[in-house]
Amino acid sequence: MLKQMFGNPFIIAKREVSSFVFSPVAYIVFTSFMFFSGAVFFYNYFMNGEASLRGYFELLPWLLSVFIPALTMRLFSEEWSTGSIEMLLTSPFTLWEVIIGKFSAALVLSIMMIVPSLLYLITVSLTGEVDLGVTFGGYLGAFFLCALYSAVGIFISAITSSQVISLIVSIAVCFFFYFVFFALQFIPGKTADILQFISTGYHFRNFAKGIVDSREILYFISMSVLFLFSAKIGIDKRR
Amino acid sequence: MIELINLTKRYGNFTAVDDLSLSIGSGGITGLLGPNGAGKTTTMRMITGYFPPSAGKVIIDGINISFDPVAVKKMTGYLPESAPVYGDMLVYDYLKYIASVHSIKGSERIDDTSSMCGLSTVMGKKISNLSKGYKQRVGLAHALIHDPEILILDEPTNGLDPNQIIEIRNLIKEIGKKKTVLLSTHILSEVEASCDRVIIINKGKIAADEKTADLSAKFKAGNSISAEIKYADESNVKNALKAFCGSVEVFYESEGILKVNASSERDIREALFNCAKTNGWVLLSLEKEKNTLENIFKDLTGGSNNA
Repeated sequence: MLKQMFGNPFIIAKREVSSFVFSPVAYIVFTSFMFFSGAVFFYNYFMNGEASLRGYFELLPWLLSVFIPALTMRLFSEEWSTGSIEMLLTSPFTLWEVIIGKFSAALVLSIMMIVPSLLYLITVSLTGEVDLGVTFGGYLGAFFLCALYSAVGIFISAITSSQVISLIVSIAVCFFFYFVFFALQFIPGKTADILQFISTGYHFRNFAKGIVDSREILYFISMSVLFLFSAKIGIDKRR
Repeated sequence: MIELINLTKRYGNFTAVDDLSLSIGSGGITGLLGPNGAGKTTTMRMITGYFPPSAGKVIIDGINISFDPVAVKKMTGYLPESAPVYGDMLVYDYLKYIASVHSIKGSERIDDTSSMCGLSTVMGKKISNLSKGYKQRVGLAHALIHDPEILILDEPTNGLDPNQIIEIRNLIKEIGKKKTVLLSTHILSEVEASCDRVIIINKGKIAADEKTADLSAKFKAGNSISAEIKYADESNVKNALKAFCGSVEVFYESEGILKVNASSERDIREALFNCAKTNGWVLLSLEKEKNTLENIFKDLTGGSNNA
């Protein structure tokens, strides 16, 4: 049953990853991400004299809000604009297979983007004490954040054939989900509770504090599934 | 092999394909002919499972495509109009990817397909750098790589130069000997050149469905002739021809030469020749007009639907 529905998304994921890695966009995205994340880390490290990844994880959601949409913008938008979606959807794949394939590709690419930060971890461990809880929690949170933002990016990319629109709207949506957290103090009562619940910022903070709670995990998984499901509906409506 | 039952596709108020039913047996080449916007592409997209019909059924080799789309997609090869293939990939990488999509192992099938489609010399090139003709061939290789029983081609020779058109046509003919091919086109000579059967559709409905050979016979519009006559008087010719022709049209085409367009139930060439002989006219030309597919097409589709 599961096999019938999801088939083998690995083929699509592999093509997407290799086609991205061999494109110039990859180098621009990866190097500028390293530049900004490095700047954040070393500012904290040298200027504040703090040997930890705390500052890095604090700003990571902002960076990911911009950089993950840059990874996902072309995934479906390009297929729509060139018409290759027709070849993709008439290949022996289920629509879930296609979506999961592209989603896994985005997730792999975003992890590739974060992996170099392990060098910072080494830097920290050379000069100070590494807080294992915070580090593990932070990376786990980063992983779930990547998954959610990838799902958001896939959804937006699935409903527009313009890569520029896909990029900008995805950034806006990712920002919104993070920003809501900061707006909470101006919003009264029940609305604040709801907004707090949907805010990625709130749930990510707990991870970054080193608290790994099943509620947080459930939040990220269900939100990602929600966006992937919306992507499926979007494609079905559009074709 | 392909069976369409009351197939309908609506976009809002517009009905692109309207209650279309047809059945295509195994083997041979069937041409789907119609003016632009007749519903050819929409029909093909439903057959290949790109989108579901608004109503009706598509049954391929006994399988309803709505129930098991993947099984159907496994045995069909589809070349969409303008062959949208991934431009950023090398030809070889692309074919390898498509082979993996169909779980084809090894490079044997890739080699066979590429040489069949004439791609051997461009295997290391980026698809976006290829000419339109080669891109079309990559699309064709995409459709053929898993050796499908059914091949569906949407305007396969669109945008190719005359030499490429002949090559692709020969290839399609070769495939049509063993497999079921359905191709769409708005070029009539293409149907005459390569199809065994032609289905003319207009405004989403079937206007004609005949064997290519029968089509011209069936729609023969009597015996029309056109002739050029010298050394004759307009009214004389008119009166003489009225004796044995249904309708006659006589006018001076140029100085001293009369142009005659006439038609009748039977062949009137002999009578006209004898008439000219007795009257001392000089017959410069005498031609029987064939009812070409162009004329049939114009009659069936009203000639005004170029939307």
